This record gives sequence, structure tokens and C-alpha cells, in this order.
Amino acid sequence: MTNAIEMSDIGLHFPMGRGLVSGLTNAFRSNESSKRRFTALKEINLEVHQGEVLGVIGRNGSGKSTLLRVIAGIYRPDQGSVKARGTTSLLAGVNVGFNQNLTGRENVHLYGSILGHRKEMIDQMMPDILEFSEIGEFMDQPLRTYSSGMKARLGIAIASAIEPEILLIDEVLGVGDPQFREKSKKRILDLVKSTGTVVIVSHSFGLMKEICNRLVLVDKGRIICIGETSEVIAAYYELDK
Amino acid sequence: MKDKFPLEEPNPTVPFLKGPHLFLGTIISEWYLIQNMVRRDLKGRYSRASIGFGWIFLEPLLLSAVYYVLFTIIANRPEPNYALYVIIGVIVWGHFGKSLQATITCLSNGGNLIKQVYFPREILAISPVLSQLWISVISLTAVIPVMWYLGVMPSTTIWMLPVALILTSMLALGFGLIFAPLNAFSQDVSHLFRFIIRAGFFLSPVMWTYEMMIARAPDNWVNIIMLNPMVIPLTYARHGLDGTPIEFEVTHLLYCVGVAVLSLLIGMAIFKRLESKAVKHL
Repeated sequence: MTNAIEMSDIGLHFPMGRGLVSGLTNAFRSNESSKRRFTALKEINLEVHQGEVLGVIGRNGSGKSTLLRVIAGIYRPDQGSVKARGTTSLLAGVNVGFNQNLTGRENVHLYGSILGHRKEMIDQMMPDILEFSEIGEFMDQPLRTYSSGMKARLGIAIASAIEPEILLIDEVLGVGDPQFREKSKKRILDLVKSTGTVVIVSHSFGLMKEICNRLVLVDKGRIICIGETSEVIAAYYELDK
Repeated sequence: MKDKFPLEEPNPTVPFLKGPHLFLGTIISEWYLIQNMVRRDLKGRYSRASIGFGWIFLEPLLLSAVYYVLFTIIANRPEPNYALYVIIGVIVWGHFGKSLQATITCLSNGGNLIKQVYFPREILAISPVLSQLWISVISLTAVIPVMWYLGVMPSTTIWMLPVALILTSMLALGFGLIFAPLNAFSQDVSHLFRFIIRAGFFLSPVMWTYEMMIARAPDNWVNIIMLNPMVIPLTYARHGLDGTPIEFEVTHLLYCVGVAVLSLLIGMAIFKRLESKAVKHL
């Protein structure tokens, strides 16, 4: 079986000191052990197979989101190596790239190009985004006139209009009214089905059981176990004890 | 079919010497993204004001009027074209200061976006400089009424004006790129540079001119003053517009161009090298 993502012996540390000197020493001597850093990920070995849906669960602050960000290339690991096959796309915090003074349409182009799309692709996606987000004539109004629900819908519409080889999802299902939440859940499920490989972080175990082939349990920056969904969820509840 | 993509690191470590090459490659391949970022900057800044883009024109005009009145009283009207020199000085120095400050703070201010999406971070550094260049070019139309009033016409020396703006942008981007990762480690850097830009306003020929300096400064001071790489761009911009020729010593000219090119190359290499470390401090 081919692997879509290979992570071997990943370690990632965040510096704790805020000074210029500590920043520079950290930058040039990353391998030295230091007390003034926070270890976010440690000894992570993970292989994600081509075509599988892998769920990541764990407590708040356990390193799940950081793990996704390492796969996406946002954080470069201090130890070990991460490799991915094809383009990755991270769905997280859906309207970070937005600007209040641009119109909806301009924001689609801005956020779309931040996500790495060419102009022609964005033009192609536009009718679909218009239809899904239900923004209507507000599309040519500045974003500051939107309600927060409208912004969230537009964000999800753009972010989910992509077709990457590897899709990384970080808890983006909880926005909008119940109808839209249901709709975006369906949209993401469709995306999951049409995308080769998916890594998803979520606290909703029901959803995870439904869509994931395997689960990974992360705690305090380490992988506790990888396996069948029900086993790993059981292991999650064991963490408390 | 599935094997058409090789296993690759998403954000690989870049060898120091390859930094500039990759940096320039990204600018070309991500040009559409850069355009969108520039539009965001410009619209964000001016679309909510009723005078809107008119402020680009008004700001240097009003600022120069204040400086002109102040300095004609203090210096007793040193040159017939002094008003023109002041306004060009204010615009070009403003271009340098704002571009530099924007580049230095590009990582520390872009934290939200950087942490949610992976895209080449050099986009964040280059786009504010291009926005500022656009603004500065528009601001330069503010010199037209002043030139008309003084009866000054540009001539063949006009080529010096774009050269001046390009050199200024290169210097601002170069130094900005060197210090942007450091500013993510500690924001002391941008506070320090705010002071440097203010002090540089007086240490550069904004309120005074190259000719005044040559006429008054002792010979051994000239070389020290010319260590400031902004002296030549500011003077070029003035002579580009007033149409009179200017000659610099070859060593001074080489020094200025050398600093611009080297700072840019070193800046791109350092930025590419340190940006992924800096991101962890955000």
C-alpha cells in the first residue's frame, strides 16, 4: 500500500522566551535541549495510507492541530521528517484571509489565491461558491455589511471548493445556523469522499466513527495509539484514569 | 495514476545561497496572489474615507506645506526651488520609511493568516512594498502644482526618478527582509526602526539638499554623510523632476547601488532561512 503522508520521528518545539537573543539562539541551535521551550510534538511516527480517512482525537492542547499544521507545512519540524504526496489543503478558521473592505467577490479571489488557486480556477469556482454560500446580491457588497453567519458560509464555500490530493480538516463544522451546519457537514463529507486522502481533527466522535477508517489518539504531544475507531475512542476515555 | 506525485516535504529547508533564487521565483509564480494582497492593502486603507484615494495626493502636499513654511522661516528660503525639493524629499523618504516598516512587521502582523494557511511567506513581505510603491507614484502627482507654480519643467533627466524609486524600494525591502524574522522574535526591532526612520528623516536630504551639504560640510564629512544609502535616491528624484543634471562620485554611486543589491540578496536569503523559525514565535 502506498503512503500519502509519512511522518518519521517528528519533534516540534515552541520557544518560550520572547527576547531577541533567545530567538536567535533557538533559530541557529534548534537541536540543543533547552528548558525554555515547549515541546508540542514528540516522537511522532505516522503513516497515512493513500485513500484513507484518518481521524485525530485528543484533549484540548494535546497537539492535534499542530500535527495538522506540520503536515500542511505551516510549522517545519525541529526533528524528523514529514513528507506528503501531492498538494495539501488545510481547512481551519475559515475566514482568516478576509478583508472587511473588499466585496464578497474580491474576497473570493483573495482567499482563493491565498489557498493557492489561479485566477481561472477561481472564476470557474465562482458559480458554485455563489450557490453554496447563499450570499446572493450581497456578493458585490463590502464584507463589513455581512452578518457573521454570511461570512462563515462564504469562508466554508471557498475553502471547500478545492480539490487537493490531501485534505486536512480542523474542526470547521460548527458554524452557521443548524440548516447550514447540516449542509456544510454534507459538503465536507462529499469532499472527503471525492478526495483521495483526508486527515480530520474533531471532537465529534459520532462523525469520526461514521467517516474514519482509522483513528489516532494524541496526548501531550505523543501518539498514544493508532487503530480501529471504537478501540481508540475507548482508549481516549481511559486517559482520564 | 496515484503515483504521479512524489513524496515531498511540504516546507523544506532552503539552502542559504538558494534563497534569493527561490524568492524571486515565488514572486513570479504567485503574481496573482500578490496583486490581490496589494488590492486588499489599498482598498483597506482608503475605501472608507470620503476623499478616499485623494488622501494619497493630499497627505504629502499638506505635510510639505508645513515643513516648507517652518524651514523657510528657520533657513530663510535657501533656494528658489526649495519647496519642490521638500515635497519630493517628503514623498521619497515616506516611501522608504513606510515600506521598511511594513516589511519589518510583515511576519509579526500576519500571524493569523500564517497560522491557518500555508502559502509562501515572502508574499507578505513583498506586497506591502508594492502597495506603497503604487501609493508613492500617485503621491508624486502632488508635485505637479508646485512645479507649475515655480515654472519648473522636467527634461531628459526624468529617468532618474524611476531609478530613485527602484533603489529606494530595494533598500527598504532588503533591510526589511533582514529584520522581519528578528521582529517576530522580539518586537523591539520594529520600535528601534521607528526611531531610525524618524532620525533618518533629518540625517537624509529631505529638508536639506545634496548641494547644500557639499557647499557647507567639511570634505572629510562628505564621505561619512554619503554612507547613508538614501542620499543618492533622494537627490536623483529631485533632479529627475527639476530637469537639472547631477554628478556623483563613482565610488559613492557604486556604494549606493551595491548596498541596495546586497541588502536585497542577503535579505531574501535570511528571510527564506529564518522565516519558518520565526513563525513559531507568533
